[in-house]
Amino acid sequence: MGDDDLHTEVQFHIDMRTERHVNAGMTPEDAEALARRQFGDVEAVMNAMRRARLRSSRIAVIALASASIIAAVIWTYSSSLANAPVVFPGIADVPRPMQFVKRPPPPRPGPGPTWEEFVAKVNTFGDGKREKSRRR
Amino acid sequence: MGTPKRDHLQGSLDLLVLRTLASSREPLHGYAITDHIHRLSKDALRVEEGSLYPALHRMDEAGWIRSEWGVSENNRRARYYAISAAGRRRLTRLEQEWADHIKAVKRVLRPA
Repeated sequence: MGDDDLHTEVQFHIDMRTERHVNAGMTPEDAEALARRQFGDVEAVMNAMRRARLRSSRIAVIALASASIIAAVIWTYSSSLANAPVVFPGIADVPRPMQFVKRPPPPRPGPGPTWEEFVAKVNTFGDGKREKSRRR
Repeated sequence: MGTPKRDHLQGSLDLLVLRTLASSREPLHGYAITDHIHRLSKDALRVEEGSLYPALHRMDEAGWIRSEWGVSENNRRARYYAISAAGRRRLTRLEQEWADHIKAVKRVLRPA
């Protein structure tokens, strides 16, 4: 919306109020002067109207720019990951962030002693203690 | 970020404008909106033109009202405003907030 449109809208309001004052018995000059006083600072009002339009346009531009930057970052990141093995053949083995890496399972513990071996081991310690106490 | 007083005043202006446009069967220009509020309030409320037009443009940009150029009753080029579907939803919310505000003030003025 251009300045001419803003001015047309404001002038229409002042003219309507002027007409009302004339219909109430005022001279056209007095009526217009009063209508302008009642409206206030025309330039200040038009500035506020421009700011109201500009603010929302600025918000729209910022939102668009942010979305473009985010899209560009995502595209660059995804395309670099896709092309990485071609450009750097060795990089295919490098774990990438945000990617599940399949690790080998941890080594399982070997088989333990059989029951007979365990009992024999325990009895060995027990026998030793008993021998000591017998010596005393 | 505006002060609470400013937010409150801006909210009440939005409420009055949206209610005026919702009650009208046809689009209204700014002068008709101020005239309508002035008459319905029995001269108690007078909308400042300096606040009305920036508010109209802000609400137009927000999508709560739609605007287009037309020809006035005296054959002048004028900008007409009408409430949108989003504006009606906004109006419902503002009316509820206003009712809650009035209830709260009443509770303070006349404690049970």
